[in-house]
Amino acid sequence: MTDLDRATLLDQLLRYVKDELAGGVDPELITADSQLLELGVLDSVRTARLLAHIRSEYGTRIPPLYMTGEHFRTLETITDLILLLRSQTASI
Amino acid sequence: MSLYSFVVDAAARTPDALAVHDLFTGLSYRELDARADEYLAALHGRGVRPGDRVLVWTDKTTEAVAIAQAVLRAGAIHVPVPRGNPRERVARIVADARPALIITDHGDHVRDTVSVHCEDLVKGVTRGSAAAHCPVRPADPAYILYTSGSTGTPKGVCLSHGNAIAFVDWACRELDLTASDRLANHASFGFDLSVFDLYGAFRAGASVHLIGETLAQAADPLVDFLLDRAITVWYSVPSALILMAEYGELLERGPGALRACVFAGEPFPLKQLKDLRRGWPGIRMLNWYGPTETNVCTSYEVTAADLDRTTAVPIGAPVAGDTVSLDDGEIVVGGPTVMLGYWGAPPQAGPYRTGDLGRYGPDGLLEYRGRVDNMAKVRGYRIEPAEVESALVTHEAVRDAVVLVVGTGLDARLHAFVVPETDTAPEHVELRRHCAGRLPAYMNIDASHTIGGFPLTRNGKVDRAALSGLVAQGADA
Repeated sequence: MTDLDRATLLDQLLRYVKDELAGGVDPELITADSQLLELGVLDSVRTARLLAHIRSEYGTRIPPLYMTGEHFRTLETITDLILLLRSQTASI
Repeated sequence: MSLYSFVVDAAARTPDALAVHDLFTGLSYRELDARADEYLAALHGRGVRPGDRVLVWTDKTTEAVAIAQAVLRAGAIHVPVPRGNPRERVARIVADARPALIITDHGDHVRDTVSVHCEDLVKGVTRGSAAAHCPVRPADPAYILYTSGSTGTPKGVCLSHGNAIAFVDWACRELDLTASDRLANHASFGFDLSVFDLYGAFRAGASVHLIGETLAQAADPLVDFLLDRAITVWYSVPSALILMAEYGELLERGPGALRACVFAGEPFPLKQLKDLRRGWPGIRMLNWYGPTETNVCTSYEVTAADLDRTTAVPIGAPVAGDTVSLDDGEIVVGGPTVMLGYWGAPPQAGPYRTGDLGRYGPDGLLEYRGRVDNMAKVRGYRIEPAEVESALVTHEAVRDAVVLVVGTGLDARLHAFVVPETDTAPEHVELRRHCAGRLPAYMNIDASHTIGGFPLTRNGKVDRAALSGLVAQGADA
């Protein structure tokens, strides 16, 4: 999946979060730019599940250095982070 | 003897040793010492006087640690407020602490206050500037930690240099900390667990490795962090360890360089504790107990003998020169680690009543039995339901609200029962958004239920057990 484009990745992540991590939240309210912490869809257990999903689905491990509020604010910022990490691996 | 002397002394002994490292950068003791003096000069420049409060609303960074050292060197009182606190809650803390200065590392402001970015603070300060450190006495206040308040407003627990030193001295001896140790700092700076990580490391001339708020929630990367940084001493709430074990393969991938694993803040579920004890036979494990008001006041070492246990491990025996007793089942603590008092309230007189219930086991060790009041713990975070209820009722569509915790351990959830103003109930997401503007994320509600009125006990109080039963029966979420 080297040619994974941003729109596709974002769409897949959005679907995963709506289907698997919405919890008590109406999935319709979860969008690409929703504040994840505010919605409550990224508590510690759901963060763990999302990271496991990213690892198994895209082969991307997120190193501690990138576990910041800035990168995990919205699904858009998470998408950009995955693409950044994938491009770094590809260039090695 | 002051709490700031640890860094000063270590900088003289081992200037090149690593003192503190955040996600991105590290400072040696020489660098931390110099940086603290630069901030101290800046604080003097801003007119900060001994006894003034300095509120530090930042992420967990090496700069924030240097600022804390500077505040103490000024003889002022450090008020750490984790970045994750929304403006509105910080405003209430400001109203209580009345700080002389607010220092941030971001662009957010509390209205009607002056805050300064840490980068701007040191602008114009000459490098290597040395201002005199203010002499302090053990009974002088060192810091105020704001914890959830049962009146709906955060309350400030004020601890002295002597309170912190009594605890840190004991903890360093108990764990035989040396300059070669590498401590992880999982808790927020606003939580008392950080006092051990930071000042224990500094007293020993060891290094402390800061875990930011987002990383602290991320199981797999946390295990990477433990291994990458070759952490030797870990201290956190049990929930963090359970999360790492369940989602980060902690037992399989660890323990790396770890030699001691300490936990506090909530009971460790027995099954998961036994898994950890069995998985890492060579590692010391300690169960510490003590509310913010007392630092750690009892300790129990979990050993192989506990593998046969069928009930929760004890919280143990008194430490750090404290005396711990039971009064009508309530744990009462006296001694050198007990706080000066709540900020703005009369000083603590005599032993502190914790509100925790205890009993002595057959071995004479203290066991934890729950609370005398409604205070709750969710994944180790101390939450007064009244503070969440106060936030909910400020929503225009909410007439009344009761908040309680359902479930335990990683499954603990905050449920809100809401009586609406009109027939239309506010949406759960709308209530969450409302609370997010007033409370830190860990205090936000996980589910909400609309209810016509609250069930009452025979004494006319809200029947929380009955509400809890509604959740068990599967009321609408």
